[in-house]
Amino acid sequence: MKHIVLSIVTILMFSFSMNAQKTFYTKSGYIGFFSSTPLENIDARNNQVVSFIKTADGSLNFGLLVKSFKFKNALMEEHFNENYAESDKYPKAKFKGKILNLDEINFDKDGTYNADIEGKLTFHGVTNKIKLKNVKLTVSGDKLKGEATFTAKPEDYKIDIPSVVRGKIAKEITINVKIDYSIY
Amino acid sequence: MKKLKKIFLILIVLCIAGGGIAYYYTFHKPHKNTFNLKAEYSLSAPELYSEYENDEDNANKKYLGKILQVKGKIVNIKKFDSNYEISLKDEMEGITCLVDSNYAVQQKKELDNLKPEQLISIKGQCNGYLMGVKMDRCVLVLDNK
Repeated sequence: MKHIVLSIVTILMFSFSMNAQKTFYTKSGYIGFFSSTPLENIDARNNQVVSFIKTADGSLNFGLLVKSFKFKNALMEEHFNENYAESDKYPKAKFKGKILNLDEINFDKDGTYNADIEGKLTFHGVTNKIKLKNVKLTVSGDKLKGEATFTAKPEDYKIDIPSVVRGKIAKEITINVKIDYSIY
Repeated sequence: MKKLKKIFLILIVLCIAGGGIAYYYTFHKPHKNTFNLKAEYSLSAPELYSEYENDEDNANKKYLGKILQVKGKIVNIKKFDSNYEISLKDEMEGITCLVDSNYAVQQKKELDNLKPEQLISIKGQCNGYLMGVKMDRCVLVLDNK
């Protein structure tokens, strides 16, 4: 009898802890990038970002379609797709990473947490390791908000910028990430 | 002689002005308006989805960056910052169409009246395949031609 009670309790605890492991997801996240020089400001927005966070192991996945980046200026969008990002050849960009300080984040308790994230970013067919510090994660019930800003250099992703327009494109591009996750 | 000089001057001014206008339109040309664009392909949401599911590379060669007209059943409508996101066929395995705010204002009444299960035609740019087929710069095709 004792054994049965014990095993029931164990099973209950086990299933409870299984429930506590969640997957957050979105398919309409936002990633934008910004380049600012005295000559020109370039600003592009993508509202069709797919992302998953698994709370069990802190793994993160991001995927986006390069053609979903929208520019105010039609010519910039054309140049970005044809000459720089080559979106016909490389239609997707992705990021696969991990939260390094998972023990400091409680996905079951409302609040704002700072996450350190490390992972691999693939864009224009080139994969680079990147590290992000102080990524803001806000938990509120079944919702999770993630916000991050980081910079990347075009040459690290084999994007050649002709010298004629070099002055119009910043050496470091600022990337903004804003994702509203729901429970999968 | 004086008259010739005057004509010459006017010509130079016209050339500069023309060049200026040409320059302005090259660098500030507006985005193409989906309302005025003719769809290169017209097909149903399940057809488009299965083409992508079966052979993404080939489907990309055919559809990526092109204007498509897609007919399908609405499964979900989401509104954010006066953009509308309409999912056709299936939430995960379907077509996601983004009606950007600048188009949405022109069809606000029609968009607000959309309901799940309704069969609609949507025209927009195909951006590729990532958890379903993604389209944006979409507009509703109302006359069902």
